[in-house]
Amino acid sequence: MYFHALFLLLISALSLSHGNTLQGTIDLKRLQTILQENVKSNDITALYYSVKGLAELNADIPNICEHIQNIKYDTNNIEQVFQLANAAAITGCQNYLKPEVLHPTTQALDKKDATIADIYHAVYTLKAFGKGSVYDREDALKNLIQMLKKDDSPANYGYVFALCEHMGCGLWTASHAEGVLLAADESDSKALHFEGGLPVTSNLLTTIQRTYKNLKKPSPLSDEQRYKFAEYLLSRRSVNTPKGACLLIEAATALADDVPSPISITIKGKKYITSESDTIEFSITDLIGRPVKLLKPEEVVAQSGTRLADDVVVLSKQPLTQKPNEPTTFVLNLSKIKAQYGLYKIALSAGSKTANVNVAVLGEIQVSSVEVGIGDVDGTTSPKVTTVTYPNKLTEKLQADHLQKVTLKFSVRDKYAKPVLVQQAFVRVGGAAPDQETIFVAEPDNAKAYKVELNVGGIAKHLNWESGAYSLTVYLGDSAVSNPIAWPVGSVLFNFGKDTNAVGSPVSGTSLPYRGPLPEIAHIFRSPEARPARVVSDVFAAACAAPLLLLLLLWARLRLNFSNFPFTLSALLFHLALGGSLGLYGVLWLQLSMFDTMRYLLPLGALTFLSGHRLLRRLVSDKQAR
Amino acid sequence: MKISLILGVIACFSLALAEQETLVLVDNLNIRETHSQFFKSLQDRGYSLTYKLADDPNLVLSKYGEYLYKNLIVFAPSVLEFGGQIDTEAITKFIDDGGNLLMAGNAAAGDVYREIASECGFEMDEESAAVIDHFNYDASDDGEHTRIVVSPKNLISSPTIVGTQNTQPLLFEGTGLILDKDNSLVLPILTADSTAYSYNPKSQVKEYPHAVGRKTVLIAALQARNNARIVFSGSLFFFSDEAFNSGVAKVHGDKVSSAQSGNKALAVRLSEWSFGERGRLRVRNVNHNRQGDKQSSNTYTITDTVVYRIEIEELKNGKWQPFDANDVQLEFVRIDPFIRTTLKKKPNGVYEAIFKVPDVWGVYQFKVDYDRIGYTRLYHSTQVSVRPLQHTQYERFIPSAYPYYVSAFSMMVGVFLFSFVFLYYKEDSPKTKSDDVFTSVTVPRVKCVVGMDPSRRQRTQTKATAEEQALDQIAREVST
Repeated sequence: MYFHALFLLLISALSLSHGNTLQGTIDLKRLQTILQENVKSNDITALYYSVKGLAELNADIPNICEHIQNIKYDTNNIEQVFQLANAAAITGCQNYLKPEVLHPTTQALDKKDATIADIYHAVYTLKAFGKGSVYDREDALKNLIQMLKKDDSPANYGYVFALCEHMGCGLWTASHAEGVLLAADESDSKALHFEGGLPVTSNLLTTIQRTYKNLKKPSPLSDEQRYKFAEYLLSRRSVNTPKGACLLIEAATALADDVPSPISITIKGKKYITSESDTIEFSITDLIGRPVKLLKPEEVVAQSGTRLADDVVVLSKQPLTQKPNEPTTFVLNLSKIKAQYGLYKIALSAGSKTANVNVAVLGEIQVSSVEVGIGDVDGTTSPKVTTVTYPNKLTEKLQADHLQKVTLKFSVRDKYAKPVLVQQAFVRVGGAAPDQETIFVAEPDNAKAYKVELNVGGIAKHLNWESGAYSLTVYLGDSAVSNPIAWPVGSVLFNFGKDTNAVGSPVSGTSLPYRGPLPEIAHIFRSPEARPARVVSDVFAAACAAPLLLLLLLWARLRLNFSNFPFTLSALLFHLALGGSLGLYGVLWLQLSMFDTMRYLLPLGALTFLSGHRLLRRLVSDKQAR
Repeated sequence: MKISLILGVIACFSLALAEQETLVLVDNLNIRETHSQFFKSLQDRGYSLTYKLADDPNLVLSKYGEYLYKNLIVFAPSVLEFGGQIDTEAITKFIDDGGNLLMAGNAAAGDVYREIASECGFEMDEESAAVIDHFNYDASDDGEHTRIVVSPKNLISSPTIVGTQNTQPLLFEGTGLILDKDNSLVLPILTADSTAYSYNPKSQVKEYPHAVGRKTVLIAALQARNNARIVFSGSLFFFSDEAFNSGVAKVHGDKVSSAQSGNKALAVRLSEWSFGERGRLRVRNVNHNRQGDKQSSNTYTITDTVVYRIEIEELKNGKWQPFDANDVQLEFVRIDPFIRTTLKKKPNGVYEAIFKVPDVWGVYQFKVDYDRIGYTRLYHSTQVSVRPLQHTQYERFIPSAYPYYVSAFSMMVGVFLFSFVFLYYKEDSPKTKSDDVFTSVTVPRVKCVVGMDPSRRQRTQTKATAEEQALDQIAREVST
């Protein structure tokens, strides 16, 4: 019923070792915008490369002479001087620069330990001012070769080749270019580049290409090298700096101008099409998106098409048609295989080049209904089956406990109601929290009918033994399916039983330690003991004081006398000290600490002892005297 | 003077540089160019990157026991075995010694990746398995639905790690991870949707996939206990210029589309976090004292009111600045925490708590254990002893104890008065006097007898000699 169309998706050609093509082009427009944004940059390097790149693209360069005149640069850095001079030369602003600008060039050339790069920059700076120094060509070349022997990096070769261009020793370049090209580094056996990355690769490629062109010789690059360098340049197409953009433009243009130019085959526009237009558009261009020279439209042919699953050949020698007014666009009609979805491999040839292209034919799938059955685990009773039709939901709320199982049965059909297998036929059991889910894989039987059995007791551990409502969702998807289906079937109440819950609950706690603020803890202080009312203690205090009063009363009634009191120093001292000691106890109660009390008590005690001793002795002797 | 100044400056620089030394291991040097934007963002932040081929036979992480690099980036999924001295063990040791690791693989990543991943608590799917999502794939997908579009909602909710401005959908193409449940240090940075699974895209699903649904972790992180940080991405493509620049257009579902993917912002944030530019905390200062005191003390008495202050700093833009949070907690612990309280924020990154020491004495610790996702774990503890009240510190005037006080003092007064009565009381009726001469002679002996106990007296009576009986007689006379 939901059946509209078949989709085709082309998988981009995987390069094979032989007869390959490129899988993309370099978007010059994007690079041009980078350059245009930087043409008034305050950084001399950015400015130079922007100007140079724009010149290479034959694009308009705004008048920036005054900007060049005022730009800041390091006067001692020969490279920056070179960039300034050449930027001025390209824009025709040499007159805005002062002649002093050239001082560093002579210094660089006079220097004994000048590097090849210095010489290159110096010479080309002079050249920019039309002062192309006339050298003794032979001698200069000899010197350069001597220097190359010291450091024969690809970068230096690039400079020497460029100098040769200026000096007119192109033949020497031609004799060495092939050797240099062989020294290029290979990455992943797919791409070639020179040590030093894009600047060196670009410089060498452009210089060699230019030199050979001037010499009217065929390019020294082999076909394979050309593709591999192009592959490298493609990997760098996302450059963002004006320098990278300029170098990329130069190198790509050099490679694209080479004959025969590397061919790029890409899918144009959207990657899938509907049944209304069951065709794919290819764009067959050179590296920078231009129509391929020497390629006749009838040479673009889909040589063969095989299904990857069983190697059945489905088409052969089907020509592509060129779209009118768009020389780079070719159309392949695939209406023949649109009903048999799956992955196909198509060998597409453009001229002598063949690209293997993987094509996926997408089809719609449908699922009409799902049977949700709830039955006993042991199968003693026949399960209760509820059928839900797509895209409805379960109307009643189903329940299942831990002794039961839930079975979901469905079959996936294609447009023609034929059962098919899909890669993804999952049933998601989702809880209340969005992250709480468990996914089960439905397995097909021989009749390609999918079935999932959810043994409620068995799945409990995946759901943390938390009884409750769980939603069931069926997911159907495949890489060859254009309409993946996510169908929320409804919810089922799972009851995992009380026992399992009890066992499981400690496990169900979050297994990861919680990382966040913990609950606050306050200490509970011991509460003071209950005390009697003040009145009670006062009454008892009075009661405790009563015996003393009674004593005094009784003594008074006895008519006490202290007639034996000897008025001596020792007697006075003794009683004062004794009274003092007792008073000290009172003070201890009021404020002193135990140690303070001891300190005061010791002398008092000693005094009491001595005076008491004396007093008693006196009392005894008095008594004896009587 | 000048030289030492210069040397000092150089030392400072070299120290700063050491923080930024980064080794980048790549499959081929082309990765440096295909991932140039990511590397450039690192270089712009001052990292010095050393690119090496992963199977370079001269690879070294450390020399003479000193690490040459603080950070390690491994962007080499196709490596079978690292070259030189680097292997799983060396990388594990590098992490143990505090080095940071950023690693990105893809569906083709080999066993070395799997080994390192499992050392870090992640589990990587088998070779050639990729995360597939038939519902959320990008329009630029190759047909296997492995270039998936992930909503920024699936990011971990930790602004420290992923930042706050992740609104653009993310592109991901690579293998899925699952996290070790028992490892509390691992973090799922980015998870897939319920519809995703990790399997070999070329084969039918016959076994239960390694990772399914929300359990499929696309980018995982780990902060080790030594604060070394690891970010492990299942996708190297995630960090590439292509992913950074390309737009996103979901083929199915809600048709999410965006002119630019959020990969760049997230990749930069992840690198900032993993190399310790973000989420680093340190304790600058801690002091505690009794309320009202100026001096810090390491002994408190039960029920004292204590003021605890901790100053915390966070590394922001390369500078240590006051840390700003409102969930820093202090525990006052004697084996178990007795008090746990949230510290109050004061200006300049100072956090303060004022609380009453429990009425249980013993050896306690002030403990601040700030462990939040994305931040370095901050742990600080100070030991203090809490002693019981001194004898003078108890309550002196307890109303209900007045009977006791009164009793004690009445006793004392009684003793004092009684001492006069006892010593100086003179009976009114004068008693008869015995012979002066006799008494004076016998006094010492009388005393002796007076002190004799009754039983002895009894015995002496039975065994009495005449002399003794005479003496007894005298004694009796004296005592009466």
